Formats: sequence, structure tokens, C-alpha cells
Amino acid sequence: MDRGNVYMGRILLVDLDKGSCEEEELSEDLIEEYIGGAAINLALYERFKDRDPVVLGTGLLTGTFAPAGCAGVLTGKSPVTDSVCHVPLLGQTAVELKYSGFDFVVILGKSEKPVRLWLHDELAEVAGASDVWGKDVWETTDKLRFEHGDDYVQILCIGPAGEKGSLLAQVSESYWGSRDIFGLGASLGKKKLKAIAMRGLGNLELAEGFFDECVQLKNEIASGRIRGFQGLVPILESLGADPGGLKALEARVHRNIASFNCTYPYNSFVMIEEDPKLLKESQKQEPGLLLTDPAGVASLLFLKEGLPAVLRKINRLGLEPAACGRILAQQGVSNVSEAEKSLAAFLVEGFSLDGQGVENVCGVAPWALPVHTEARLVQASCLFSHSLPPRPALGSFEDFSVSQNPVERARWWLERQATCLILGICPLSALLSPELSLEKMAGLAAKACQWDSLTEDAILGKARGVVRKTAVLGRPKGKVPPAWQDPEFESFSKGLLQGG
Amino acid sequence: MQEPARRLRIGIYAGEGASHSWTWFVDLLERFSYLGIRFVWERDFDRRLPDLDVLILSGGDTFAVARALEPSGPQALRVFLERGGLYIGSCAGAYLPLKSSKEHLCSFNFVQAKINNLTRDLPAVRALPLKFSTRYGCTYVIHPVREEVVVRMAENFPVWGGREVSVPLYGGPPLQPSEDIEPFAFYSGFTGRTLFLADPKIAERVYLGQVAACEKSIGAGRMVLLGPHFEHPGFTEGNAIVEEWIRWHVARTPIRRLPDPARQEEDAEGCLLDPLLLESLKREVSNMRIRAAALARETVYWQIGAKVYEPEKILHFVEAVWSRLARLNVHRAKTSGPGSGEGLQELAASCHARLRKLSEKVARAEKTQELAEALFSDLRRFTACFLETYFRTIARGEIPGRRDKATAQSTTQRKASRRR
Repeated sequence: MDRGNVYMGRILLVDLDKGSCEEEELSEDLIEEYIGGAAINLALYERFKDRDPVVLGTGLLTGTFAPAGCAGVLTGKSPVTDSVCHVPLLGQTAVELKYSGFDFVVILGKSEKPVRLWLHDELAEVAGASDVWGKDVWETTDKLRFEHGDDYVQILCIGPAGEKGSLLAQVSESYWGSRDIFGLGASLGKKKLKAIAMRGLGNLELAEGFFDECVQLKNEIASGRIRGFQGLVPILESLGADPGGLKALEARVHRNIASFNCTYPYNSFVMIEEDPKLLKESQKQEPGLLLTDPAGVASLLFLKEGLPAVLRKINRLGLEPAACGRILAQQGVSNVSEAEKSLAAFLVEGFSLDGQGVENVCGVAPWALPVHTEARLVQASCLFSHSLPPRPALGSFEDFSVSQNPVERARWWLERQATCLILGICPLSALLSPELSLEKMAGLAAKACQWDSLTEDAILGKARGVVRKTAVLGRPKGKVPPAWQDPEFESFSKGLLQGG
Repeated sequence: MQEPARRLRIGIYAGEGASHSWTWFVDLLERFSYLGIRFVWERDFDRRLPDLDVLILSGGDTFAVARALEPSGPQALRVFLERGGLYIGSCAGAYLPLKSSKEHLCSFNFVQAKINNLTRDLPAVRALPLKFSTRYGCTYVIHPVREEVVVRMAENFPVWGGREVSVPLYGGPPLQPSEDIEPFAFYSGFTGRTLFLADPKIAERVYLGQVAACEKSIGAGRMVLLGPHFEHPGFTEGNAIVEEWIRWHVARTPIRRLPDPARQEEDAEGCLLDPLLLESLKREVSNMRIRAAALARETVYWQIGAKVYEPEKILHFVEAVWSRLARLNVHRAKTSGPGSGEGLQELAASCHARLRKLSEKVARAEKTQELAEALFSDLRRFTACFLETYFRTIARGEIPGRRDKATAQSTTQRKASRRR
């Protein structure tokens, strides 16, 4: 196995109690045992579990030429469920982390004063963050990018919601939010860690023949299930989202953007103030908004034309859009100004809705869609972020040769998430493209680092291990928010714990 | 045992008027294990030359170099050549010793050959107008092509005789054949990567058949003039030709000054760079590198003297330091160099502060000319100062030198050693 083709070889341990950083080698033994991503995150979490760790990790193929090799994963104890969870990072963050020279970052303890982390060229610095504490996500991103002199600096940060400990807080990837539905934003807020800024000009070596295989698979994906589609709207349409809301949204889409090395451009950029009927270029200066979160958009569709403006506010405050959308709907909010007033209340620690506990509030199902049993099981397991579609998008389970049995389907979904987050493959792309099969992913991973024994079975075994171990770590204290519960979950959960 | 050529002491001019291409010579020399590299400035030109075997002057602003080296530089250069020194001048370094009647330049009339790119009537420009011509009295020196060109080596040039090689041209001279010089390469063609700044017919007339590289003996020494940048790191054949030329010179010229124990002692002198200081230097340079890479995406340039500088040139300097700094750090070497480690750190901090200010002003679309001039001057000083420290460290045997590709370990061996 050749580590240099896939990893930079470093684990960073950040001790917030002392404000210091320490480096460890990412050993080949550790890679051979866990492969990468979520599996190594989990091993590191267990090693440091007494110090409330939050682990930021990259997968084996993150940042390589592998199709959809954009994913990273954030692992930590969710304040919402009190158990360990994995949040996929699908922006440029994970790629930048690896290029900055670090494969894994373990954040330990908590700082007395607000701090931020600057990772660049194999160097790590803990710096004071009083200049950005109190600022929203966009202001923080702008300030840090200006500070480091480069708009390509990637930021993982929290907004006022995280600072105030709201369980609706999420960790944000630069301006555009994330798939954090577990309140890890509040965890970072508790640690007084405002932001992690990353920039790397490093690169990975390339194994012979790897590039050609990547191109071949990319072509297969492009001419496969996703052919003829682009953007977020078709995804939501295929999942049964409100057609009226989608129509209003589609009119505002300016362009669709793919994440790093992803074939399907699932992020849609909308211009908020531009008249969608204008044929010529708008003269208005406006930042627009990148829609990256299908669940968040789905739950805000009821706002119709008001959606982008409200989502922008949610992103700026560092709130979780899906939960916010469902709460706003429950509150009967119907326009932007009403929504903005309500959002201010969500920032408060222990926020509750009509006397309900906060865990019930943020546990509201993110999918304003027809909910099937498998989706409820996935949601109740609380292991991976179900802000991603709880089933294949644009196609069906049949495209992936998964049986009709809801338990089988839920298990398949969890294992596919774990596989992707071990390898660093975008789990959303993996739900869109059956061509991105486990066999193909394993083949690429083995080729990338010349690791012959890295087979399909070996990867699936590790993925099942991640699912089981994460579920075990959630017991006995973990709690499933009432809104996420499902009567069939107990028996499903037993199966998970036994690894059967 | 090292062969004599590799024990040469080689001076690279990094002073007033020098652009960034001297760092390419540093890369080339290091790759071929010539580690006795020193840097020469306008202020110590006379003092340093007697101690050198080879002097290299690469691209930049010829007028500014000539002005900076006056009044004593030309005589120091003559003495250097007469005692057996080798002068390698590429681009601006090739223009400098040519016959001229202009102020400052006229002191360097070592070579009588004439350039073929002088004209009274400026032709129509197709691209890069700022790089197309330089005013020269009532005439213009024109550069109808840039980027890749083809040159044919003369039959009597060792190893490479009769072969055609591609090399990059960034304003270097085409020389008319003359009895005063011995030509060793002629411009023979263009490629798909040649950039025509004027009508290709003008380019053909100006370059094809003219001398691209030549030699002139002066006393026991010789001048090698290269129109194109044979030293550019992207052109390995050109690099090998430069290396061959150095070896050939050594073979033809008795090296009277080797071995010299006093020299070795001096090589071992210098301060130790504390590992903490090295770490802090690395931070400063990394921050500069990120900022410089970002600035390189901006469409901005500065005209400094007769030379146009783009932000990419800042990155060239920073990368020249960065690539070696990482090696010092990996090997945890005790580094040694002239002056104090703190001095180096101060220089880095000063460069970073200026760069930061520059990028902020560029973002606000404010004037940056003076700041850019100061920054490039600082960057030259910092880069040279660091590289001198680096090469002295290698001389002390603290880290192994980089090796030529041909002699490098195989990939398998390299990977095996990394695993260890």
C-alpha cells in the first residue's frame, strides 16, 4: 500500500485547553486497520472520548481524481441525540484540509476565550478569535479570507447560533451551510472554537493507471442515470417535493455547480434580487445564494419566492435550514419579514416551541416529503445526517438492486453512507448514480494506493463496523428525539448492534 | 569523490535590475549537484568576483544592471574573465556585454556581435504590447516572439552537437553571426507553443538563422551568451546543455583555485538557525505563498525600469524558498548561513508585511507601483539570503543535496525510504 498517493500522513491534535497543537503520523497500520474517513474518525474519537473530541477527517480518496472524491466527515457527540454522529462535508472543505497537509484533525477540550484554527502547508496555528466572535457566518468567512489574503481559503465555522449554544446551530462550510443536523455547531460553540480556516497548495502523488480509470468511471456516470438532469430541482422533484415551490425556485436558478470532482452539479446558485424574466445580465450587485442542502430547501419550499432570502438569513446565522423550515411552517410564517423575526428567537440556548423541548423541535423530520418506513428507520438511527435524501434520488432502489424490504433498504442506506464516508466519496452523488457502485469504488481505492487486498468485501466489512460501532457508542445514554422515532426502530436497532 | 566541476564556486547576480529568472539557475545547479552557490550584489560585485569560478547573470533589466554595476563592475568582470572565469549570461545577461554606445552599457563592450532585433520602425503589435519592444535611443529593440522556440546546436558542441532542442525565449537576443563570437546554437524554428507578438514573417526574419547561443574567449576565461532561457526548469534539455557547457569550460580551463581548504572552512562558517526560528520562518513563507498565489490570479502588473513584472513573479521567489525550507524542516537540519537567523526572519516578515499591504491595495484598486518596487527588492534579498544559508547547510553535510533526475533514486526506492 502506498500512503503517499492518498494521504498527507498527518493527524493534528488540537488541545483547546492549552491552546496548542501537536502532530502525529498517520501510520500505515492505522490505515490498514480502518482505511480512512469515518472509520478512522471513530477510532480517534474512542481514543480521546474523555476529552469531548470532535474529529474532522478525510477519506481515502478525498481530493484525488476519483469521481465524487470531495467528501470529508465530522464526527462528534451530538448535543441533540447525546450520541456519536457523522456529518458529511461536501463542499471544498475536506479537499482543502487534505491539501493543507492534514488528513485528520482531533479537537480536544475547550478554550476559555474564542479561538480559531489556521491550517496551511502542514502548519497549524491556534489564534484568538475575538475579532470574529459575534459575527455571522458570512462576515466570518469574509473576514478570515481577507485576513489570509485568499478567497480560496476554506472555512468551517459557526455563526451566532453556535456561539449561543442553540441546538438548531450547524457547522457551516464557508458561506453555504452544511449537512449538520446534529447540532455540532453548538458543540464547537461550547468549545469556543469559532472557525477552522484551511488553505493548502499541497498535492498527492498519482498511481499509474489511476487517472484513466477515474476518467472511465466519470464517463460512465455522466452517461448513466443522471444524464439529462442538473441542479437541485430535479432531485427534489424525484423525491416528491411540492411542485409549486419548485417552480418558483427554478425560475430563480442562475447556474448549477458541482462539488469537487462530482459529475452531477447538485448545487444550484440563485439570484435573489434579479428578475428571473430578465434576458440580459442584471446590473444589480448581489451576493446570490448557493443552495447545497436538499432537505433544507425542501422544508422551506412553502415560502415560495421568499425561500432564497430566508435561507440566506438561516445560513448567515449558522442555523440548520431543514429544522428551521419545519418550525417556521408550524408557526404559520408566510413571508420573509415574519421568518426573520422568528429566526432571531431560534438562536437562544434551550429554544423551545410552544413549550416543547428543543430536541423535539430540531428533531422535526427534515423531509417535507412522503416518508417511507426505510426513511424513518434511517432517521431514527441518528448515525448519519439524514439531510441527504433517505433514498436514491432521480431513480429508485431497484436501480441499485436493493430489495423491497424497508429494513434491507434502511440498512443499505446506512452502509452506503458509511462506505462513502470512509472512502471520501460524496454520499449524495452515490445516491444519484448507481454506476458509482461499491465494486467500482473499491477498485479505484485499491488502484489509488496500490493496495491489492482492499476489496469490496473488506470495505463493506469496515462500513458495517462503522455503523455498528457508532450505534454501540450511542447506547445506553443516547436518545432519539421524539419526532425522529419510529415504532419499528427497536428491532431494527437490535440488528444494527449485533451487526447482523 | 566529487569531480572538480561540481566543486566550483558559482556566483549568481541577484542585485539591482535582476528579475526572477536567476532562481531557475539555482534550481538547475542544485539538480546537477553544483552546491557552491553564492549570490552577488551590485554593492559587493568587485569584492565577490575574485572568489568565483563562474558568474551567472540571467534575465532582468539590462539598463538597470549596467547602471548598478558602474563604475567598477566592468573592470572587475574583465579581471574575472582574464584569470579564467566563466561568465554565463542569458537574456538580459546576454545583452549586457554586447557593444553599445549608450550610457552605462558602453562600459561593458566585451562582445562586438550585433543584435538582429533592432529596428527604427516599430511593426504592428499582435499581443502583449508592453513586452513587445524596448526603446533604445531613436530605435527599438523588438521581441516578435515569446515562449517556446527551436534552436539547433552546432555540430562541434559536445554531446548535443547537431541536435535541435526547444527552449523558451522571453526577450533574449538573436545575434548576427560574427567573427567575434563562436556560435553554438542557431534559432531554427517555432513550435505550436510559440507566441507571436507580431507578424510571423517578421519573427522569421528577426530570428531564424541567427545565433541563439555563443561563446567568446577573453583572457583565460570565456563568456557564454544565451538568448533563450536554457535554464528554465520546464526545459530539461536546455538545462543539460548549460550543465554541459560548465563541464566543457572546466575541461578546457585549468581550475587554478581548487582544492582550497580555506574555502571549505568558510563554507562551514555561519550562524545556526534555531529549529524554532525555522518553524516560524516556515509560517511566514507559507502565509506569503498563499497570498502570492491568490495575487497571481489578479490582472495587475508593474513596470519597474524597462521590465514588466506580474504577480506570478512574486510566487516564483516564494516557491524558491518554500521548496527548500520544507526540506530543511523535514531533515531537522541545523542550518547555517551568513548573518543571523533573526535577520532572515526579519526579512521574511518585512516581505510578508509588504505583500499583505500590496494585496490589500490591489483588492481596493489603489496605486501599488512604489510598494511593488520595494517588495521585489526585498524578495530578491530575502530569497538570496535564504538560499545562501541553505547551500551552506548542504555544504556542512546536514542534509543531502537534491540530485539530477538521471541520477535520482528510482520511484520504488524513494517510496520505500519514505515509508521508513
